[in-house]
Amino acid sequence: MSLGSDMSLLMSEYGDNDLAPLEQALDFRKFRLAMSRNAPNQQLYFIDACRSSSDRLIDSLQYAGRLPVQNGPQASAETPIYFATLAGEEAFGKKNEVSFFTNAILMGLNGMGSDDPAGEWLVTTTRLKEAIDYEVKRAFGGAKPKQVPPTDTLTTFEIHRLRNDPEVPVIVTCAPASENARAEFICERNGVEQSRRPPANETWSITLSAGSYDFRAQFSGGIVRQPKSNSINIRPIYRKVIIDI
Amino acid sequence: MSSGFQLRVSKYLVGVDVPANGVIANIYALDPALSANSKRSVVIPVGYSSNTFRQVDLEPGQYLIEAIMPSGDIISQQAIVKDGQWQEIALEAEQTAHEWHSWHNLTGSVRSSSAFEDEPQIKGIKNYKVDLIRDPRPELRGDDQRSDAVWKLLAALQGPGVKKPIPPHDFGLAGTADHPVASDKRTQLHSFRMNYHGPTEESPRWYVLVSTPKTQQLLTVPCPWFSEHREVPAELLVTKDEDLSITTSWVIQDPDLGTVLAYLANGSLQSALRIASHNSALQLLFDKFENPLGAAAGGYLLLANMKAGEKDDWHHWISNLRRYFQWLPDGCIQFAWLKLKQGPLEDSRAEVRLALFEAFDRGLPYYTLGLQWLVDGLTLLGEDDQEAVKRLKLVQRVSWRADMSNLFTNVNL
Repeated sequence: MSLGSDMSLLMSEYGDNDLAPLEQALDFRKFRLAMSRNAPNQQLYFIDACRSSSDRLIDSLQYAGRLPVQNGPQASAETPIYFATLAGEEAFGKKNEVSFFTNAILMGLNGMGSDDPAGEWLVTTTRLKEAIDYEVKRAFGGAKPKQVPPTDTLTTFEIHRLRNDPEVPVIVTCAPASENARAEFICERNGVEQSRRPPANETWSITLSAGSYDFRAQFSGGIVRQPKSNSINIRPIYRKVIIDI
Repeated sequence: MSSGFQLRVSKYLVGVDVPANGVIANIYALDPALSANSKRSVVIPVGYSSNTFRQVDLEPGQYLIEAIMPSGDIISQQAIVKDGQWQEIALEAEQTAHEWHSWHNLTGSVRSSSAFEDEPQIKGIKNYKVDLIRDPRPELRGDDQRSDAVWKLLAALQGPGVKKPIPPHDFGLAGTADHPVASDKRTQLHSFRMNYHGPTEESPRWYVLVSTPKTQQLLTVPCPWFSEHREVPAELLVTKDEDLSITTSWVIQDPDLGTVLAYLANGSLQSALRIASHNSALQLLFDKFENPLGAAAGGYLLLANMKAGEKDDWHHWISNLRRYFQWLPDGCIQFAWLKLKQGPLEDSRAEVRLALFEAFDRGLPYYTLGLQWLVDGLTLLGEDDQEAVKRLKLVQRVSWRADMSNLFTNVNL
């Protein structure tokens, strides 16, 4: 439940007590603020929830739920926060699947939000935000120009080290896109076929480990088309492969 | 022999190029043996003019170039640097349905032409009334003797018994209807330039009131905004939904700070700071103080990226912003948060309290981030501080009606 700067996180028992429904809620704004004056000095918040507007927060005379932590003696901790949706709006997902936002976080941590400035693949807060922004926007199919809200603080720090090469989403398309309906796409690595897609009237979305790949589009009559570069390098955040026809 | 790329993002911005402080790009060397040649967070220009390119020195080899746009879009291209050559690489940004959408598309507040045209057919919605409040009531200017006036005025405009819609003259002496410079069935664009020539220390204040049959929004106008000794326009885009609700967003056509504000609006704070620091733009903002509203954006960026306890040369910039521009609440809020980030609250409680109360007296912050930080700062002072609690209650009532995803303060009435 969200109202301007305030936000109340509703627990599963929310509403059990009609006389005091917000007793089963967390005053998230004050919680994060109080946490920021306590150790550790780097904290990370992910809020995957709808953020419905409700006048209940006004009716409750500024009581937005429980506050299980008190201000500590620390200077402000770094507390980046990632929201699934804008204040006052719903968060989305497909039935029986994780939400778009959680999926974006998992993809980010799995490599989409990583970089290798010193050879090792690291996920940082900033890179993760770039990955989430991109992936949530893609999942919504551009239905809204803006889906992920800004954060009021985003210092950069490392949050995850990958053990394997990152997994990167790749979109393969013919130009013009209308040719996708006639094209069979093939992806190879070191001469070994990795994946193939029969003709379909849409782009081809696959996930590949970071590295170099060869792509081609095959048409009936033995016609083959390839991207301008022979070998396409795939690395986070995502890669679009365009095959001119 | 030197070699590299000449880089830019090609995007038409209604005749305005962003030659220096454009967008963030990463350039990755694809040969693992040359990975040290990769360059990250390079600032490259945006525009269409033939000379709008940035030269990036690179050793021969194959590279992947990735531009991260303020909208969150990513444009990438693979290319080869040849010995002794400077290859021009123009990363093609998506085009917009109308040229007048281009700046707002760069910031992510309006979609590209392909997505826009894919929309289901909708009925055209007539343009809504937009009133520029040129001379707001003393309470809204923040210069009234009663320091809590702006907060009481706005808090009282909400809730049962309030007559809607609120006529613009309720807020000022001369509400002036302002016509859109362009519109279509879903969006209307307004452009503001105030032609203010007085001293920046005494800048007046303007608001905009947008009225629809369903809602009214009072918006702080980020004007006058100066860049390179001239006032640049602030553009307001009103996006209309079929349920009669609206979304509003601002763009400042500032070649130095336009994309900085766009990254800031989307929470990409490190990219915003990287661009603002490019070409010493940030230092110039605070040295010359030609553009206090721009300097305030810089202050938020520095603080939002600040590590706890960090000491730095820029801290006195925040003190100056507070001292020299007494019409600007944001400088006081930033000073309070500078202290809060430097150490425990008890080390600086009196200074924090004074700065937050001063901000409260100056009125509605220009930046939404300022409103959020004012609420949070007053909260941190604690429930034992009755003066702080009194102010917090009023500020919070106003913040409940604010659209926190907007860069500049915007209150639903």
